[in-house]
Amino acid sequence: MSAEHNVPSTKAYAAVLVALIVGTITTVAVAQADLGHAGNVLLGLGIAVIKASLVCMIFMQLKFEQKWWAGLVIFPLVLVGIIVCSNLPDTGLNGVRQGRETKDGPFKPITQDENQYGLTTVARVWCEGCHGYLKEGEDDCKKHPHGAAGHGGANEPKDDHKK
Amino acid sequence: MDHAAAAPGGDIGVPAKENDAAFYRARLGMWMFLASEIMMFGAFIACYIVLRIANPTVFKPEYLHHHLSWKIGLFNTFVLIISSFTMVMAVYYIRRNKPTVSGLLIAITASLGVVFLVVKLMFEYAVDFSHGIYPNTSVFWGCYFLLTGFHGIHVLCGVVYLFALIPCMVDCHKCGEPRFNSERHAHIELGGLYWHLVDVIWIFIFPLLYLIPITK
Repeated sequence: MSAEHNVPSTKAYAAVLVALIVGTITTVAVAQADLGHAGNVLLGLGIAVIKASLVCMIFMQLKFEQKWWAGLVIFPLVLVGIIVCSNLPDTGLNGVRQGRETKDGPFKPITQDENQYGLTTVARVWCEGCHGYLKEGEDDCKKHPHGAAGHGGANEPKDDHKK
Repeated sequence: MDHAAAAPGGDIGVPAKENDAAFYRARLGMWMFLASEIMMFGAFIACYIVLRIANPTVFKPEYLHHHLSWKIGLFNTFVLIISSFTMVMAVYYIRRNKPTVSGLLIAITASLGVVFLVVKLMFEYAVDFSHGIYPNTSVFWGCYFLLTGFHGIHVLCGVVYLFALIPCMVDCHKCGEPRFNSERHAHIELGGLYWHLVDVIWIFIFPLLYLIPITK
């Protein structure tokens, strides 16, 4: 039985544990560093892929199974890639196109009213005074107007809110 | 029988080759189940990626960083990584016919799973709900609760399964089955595979939800 004859030693398991901990700390450090948004994302996910591979190959002993079993893991990941790539030309590129000029003027991203799928794409405004979110559509807190609210409303620029 | 040539999948007394085949089928079946799990979480993560690209304003770092504590996420990551290590050591020791040590390691693994769930529920979900953050608050929070919620359910299932294994580490007079040993431990190996998958999924959830939002 292949999996039984190639069992890693405790040292190998300990080495993987150390690698996972170091990888996690590195991921956090990378997220804090300014490598550009794409750089942060790609490096963070790259480290995650390495960590996941270590767990699969050593802890789950996929390395010692028959080679074609790796296809059981790779095939779903290929499907995920197809899902992501096939959606990008449609809704996925709304954010990328945002602000770009089109023949009808500046590109207008999908909003809550226009969204045919009914997704909530408008983030609610946070009020520091109430320590909670305002109702959808409200720009300013009635109890704590002008200043207390306005942390992070997605479609509500912070500067405009404080005017 | 040498433990290296042991047949952990079947009943004691069945010829070794037959047990080997049974254990092979059991592992293959488990990997197919794990593949279906990867598909499910892969679809969730794909949705998150597409929605994130589509709605950059909702995923503004300053908006998300206000409520997401990467330190809590980091703590839970360490908890799951260590639990994965204790689980693989439990498998290691049961293969060497040390059910007591293996049982202790399984208990530690399950306890770490409980720690993960308690931190998730008490220090994250409870705080989010008290701040008025629900799955319908925005697209991000919808993805957040979907991913972490389903993952939490999987952790809970794993914890229940691991705790259920512990009584089987001793001779069970009730069911008459012999305790797990080097020749009969397929349940532990397959449970270990499931637990490692839970760890692998969290390895991706942690940077996607907790770390990427804080990047500039």
